Amino acid sequence: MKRKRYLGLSFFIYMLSLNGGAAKADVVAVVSAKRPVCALSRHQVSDIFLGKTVRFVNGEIATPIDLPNGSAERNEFYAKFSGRSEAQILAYWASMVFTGRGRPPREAQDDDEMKNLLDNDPHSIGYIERDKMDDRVRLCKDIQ
Amino acid sequence: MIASGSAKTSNDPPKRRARLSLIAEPYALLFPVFSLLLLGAIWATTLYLVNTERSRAVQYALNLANEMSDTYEAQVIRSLHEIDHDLKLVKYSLESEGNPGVLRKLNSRGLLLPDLLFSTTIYDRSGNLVSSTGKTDAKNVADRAYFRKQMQRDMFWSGLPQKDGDGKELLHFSRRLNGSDGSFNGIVSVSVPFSYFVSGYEKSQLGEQGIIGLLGTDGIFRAKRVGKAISVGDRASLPPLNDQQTTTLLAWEGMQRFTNARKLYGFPLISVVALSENEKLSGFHRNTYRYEWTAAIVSAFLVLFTTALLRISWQLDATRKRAEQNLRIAAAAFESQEAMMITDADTVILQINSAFTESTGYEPDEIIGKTPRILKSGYHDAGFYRAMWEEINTRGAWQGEIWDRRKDGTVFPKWTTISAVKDERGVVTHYVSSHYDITERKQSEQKIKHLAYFDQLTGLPNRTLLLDKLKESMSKAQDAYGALLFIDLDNFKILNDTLGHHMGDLLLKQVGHRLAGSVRAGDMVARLGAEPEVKPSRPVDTVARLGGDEFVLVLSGLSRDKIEAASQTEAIGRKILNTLNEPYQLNDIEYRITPSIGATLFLGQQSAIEDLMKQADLAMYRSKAMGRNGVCFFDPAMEAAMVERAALEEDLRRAMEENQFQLYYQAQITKDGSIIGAEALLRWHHPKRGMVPPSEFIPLAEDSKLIDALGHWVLESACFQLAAWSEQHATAQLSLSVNVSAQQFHQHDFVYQVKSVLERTGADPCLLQLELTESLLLANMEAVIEKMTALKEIGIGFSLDDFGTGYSSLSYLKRLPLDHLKIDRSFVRDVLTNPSDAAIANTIIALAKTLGLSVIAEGVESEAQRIFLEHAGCSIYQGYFFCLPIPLEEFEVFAKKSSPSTYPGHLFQRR
Repeated sequence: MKRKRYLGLSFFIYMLSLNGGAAKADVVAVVSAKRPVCALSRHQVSDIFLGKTVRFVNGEIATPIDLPNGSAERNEFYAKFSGRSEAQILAYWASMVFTGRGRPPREAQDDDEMKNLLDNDPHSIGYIERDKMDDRVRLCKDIQ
Repeated sequence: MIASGSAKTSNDPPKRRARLSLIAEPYALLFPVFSLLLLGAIWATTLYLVNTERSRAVQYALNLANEMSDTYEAQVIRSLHEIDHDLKLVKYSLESEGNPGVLRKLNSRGLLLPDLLFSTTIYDRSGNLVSSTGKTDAKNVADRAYFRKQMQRDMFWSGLPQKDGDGKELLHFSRRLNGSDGSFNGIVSVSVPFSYFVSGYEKSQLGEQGIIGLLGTDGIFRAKRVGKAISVGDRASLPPLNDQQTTTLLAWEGMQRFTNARKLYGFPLISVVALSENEKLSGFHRNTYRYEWTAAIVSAFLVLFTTALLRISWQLDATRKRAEQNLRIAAAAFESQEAMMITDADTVILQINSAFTESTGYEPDEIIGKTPRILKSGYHDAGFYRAMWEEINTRGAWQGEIWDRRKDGTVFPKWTTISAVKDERGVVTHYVSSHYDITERKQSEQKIKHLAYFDQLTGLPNRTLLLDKLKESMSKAQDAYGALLFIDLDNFKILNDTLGHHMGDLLLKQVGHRLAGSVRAGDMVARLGAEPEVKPSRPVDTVARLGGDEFVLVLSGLSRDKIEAASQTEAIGRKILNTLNEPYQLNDIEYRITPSIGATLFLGQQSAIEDLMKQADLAMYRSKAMGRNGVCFFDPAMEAAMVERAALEEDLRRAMEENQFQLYYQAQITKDGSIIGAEALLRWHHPKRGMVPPSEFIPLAEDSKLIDALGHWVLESACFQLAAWSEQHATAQLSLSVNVSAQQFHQHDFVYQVKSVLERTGADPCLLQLELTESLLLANMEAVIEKMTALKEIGIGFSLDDFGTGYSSLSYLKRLPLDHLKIDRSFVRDVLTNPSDAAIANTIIALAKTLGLSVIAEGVESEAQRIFLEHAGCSIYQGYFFCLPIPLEEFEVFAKKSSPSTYPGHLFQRR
């Protein structure tokens, strides 16, 4: 456990440095603009997307929405929030599905659909590039 | 004897050693045996624990494998059913609607398996791709086995994995699509990476080297995961696992594995779960190691401990054995020939050895706990022991000769060594005393001494000792004469020549014996052994043999008077002659021999020893020359005197027989001049010499024992006279005094003699006065008083003669039953001219008055003397002034005249 956390931490620091270095897309977690407020840690966000919890901290149902597998934002998001690569996420879901413990989140075709889905469902949570945020979505505050 | 003795001594020690080791060994073995038992217990426990642990671990592994297999089987079956459900859903939708767009619709509604992992694809009857949820580059599958099989009939099928365009190994599952008439209208397939079937690998349960896998009944793995390694298409490297319901330990994939396989119901597949034995039993192995290490360390400690204990035990044993050995040596040494005794610091006896018992007679139980004082002989004074202890205390040891007393009371000399035993601080803890009896040594010394100083034939002192003794006698007796007598046997040579030396020796022995018996018991016989340091307290005579037939006699302590000493010597000489003249019994021969004796006198060291020897020798030869069998003196004058004396003695003897003695009477007069008694005085009318004075013949009579007879004659005659006088008026009241000599008075039956004489004569005891001399009283006072008292009881009176001349002791005077004191004539004679004599006379008279005694003055020769004495208080007188000693007839005449009525007269004075 401890080791895992260190690994995660070091990976996070690595990602930060990557962000600082190359001007990569800044992927952020977002919720429906109909939600008054959102403040979640990256860990909490990750747990929702990996099916480890199905609720927000206040107890409301949380429905995660993914971007298509193999997309840069998706990879960026998982790397940033859960510290896992694409293959790791894939293996994770293979194990979850095989053992019957869960199913991967619903996928949106692109960020526009994502924003629409978010706009339609106040319980949903997704991620987009910061630049592509509009009034349909609300930034989920990163509370570390 | 020697053989059996040595066998015994060589047998004994091993026996003892064996017995000792029997005692020692159980103790020595106790530790190792106990340790071995403990070791056994430890290892038995360890093995039991290991075994239990192992079976528990194995059981756990088996259970785990079973559980895992259950789970895996269920997951695989569920997955397959989900896939089949997916296929059936698409097949139904297509067959009922015929629109291939239904696939996208189903997927968007989430009714199909997630396209993240699965891709669902529809192919038409020619095998061309119609629609797919995933991206697939297999545009036509008409040549694929699963397509061709579906053409024949509908079946859920899984072929071998196939690589897609990305190189991913995919498993394809498919179902036949039927047209409305039931004809073949294509297939729907679901492809999934083979790894999907092993994605349920749980490290927490299966470990790093566990295996899960999906095995086709054809023996080829559709998917296999060994730890992290995923593989496909492997042929199973293990025995056929058609339906391995129970978990078994099998060796495959490089190690022993708990393997469980399940034939999947309805599918030609087998799920396999295997756990690495190593991994699953690692906990057990760790525990085993821990147990074994613990046991090993404990065992090592135990072994070390035991070894150490054994070592210590062995050392102790060795030490003890050494100590025992030392003790045995000490005990053997203690039981030596020398008598040994050990005491504590307070000299209480702790131990003695058998030699001690042998020497002193005390058994250990009789003497242990006592002190050596029990052995004291009393021969040594306190100073001796004080000096001994001082030496022990200062020097630590003492050595010397001690006379001790045995248990039986005999005293023996021993050579003793006493050592103080000190502890490390120098404090005395014990004393060790050893001694050996030196009686024999002393005896042999004595024997040597005897050989050196005594004649072997007769046992008499030899010349050497004789000279010593003579010297001793001469130095000791300064005021009394001693005598040296040479005795030679006459014609001894003839005996030797005729009867042989043997007979001669026999005779010499007997002569020696007789000589020794004839002198005062003394030290002529060597004293052997006991009684050291006993010094003769009186002069003794010595008989010695010079050699041949020559004997020597040394007499000491004779008279101070030369003539008398000579007389004593001659008497002894005569006695010896008589003794030696007796016949000798030499075996069966009776033999007679005569000696010749030569004598010489000595006084102190006036003459040299050599001179004395020569003188005696000469005298002896003179005796031989004078006809043998006689005694000769060296001094001729002395010899002449001796001859005369011998003649007088002979005359005296005859005088008794021929009645040459006569009593004279001297009157005792009171101050008024009347006669009250008389003193009887002895006179000897020698036929040739005339009247011999008593001062000459009385000592002779005393020497020759004639005095007894003479004294008795005087007493008897006096008593006859008293009895006769009682018949006549004039003499009837007269008392008669009789002088009694010391020798006579000291006769044991003197009282009886007096009584019987009185009885026989009929004399009145009250008129008999016995006159005693002071010197008589000095010896044996009690006996004297007893005799005097006995005689006093029958009325006899006593007067003390010559009072004042000797040792006048006032204390005895008081105790004696006396009637009269007689003032000696020597005082009376000068009483008028010599003031001190007058004083003495006055004192005696005053003393007599005080004691209630009457006083008789002797030797009164003048009226003046009588008057002085009368004034002084003396009432009875005796002397020439009144009457000389006169024969009976004359006295009787005097008595008649001087009867109390008539005036006494100086008329009778006669000179």
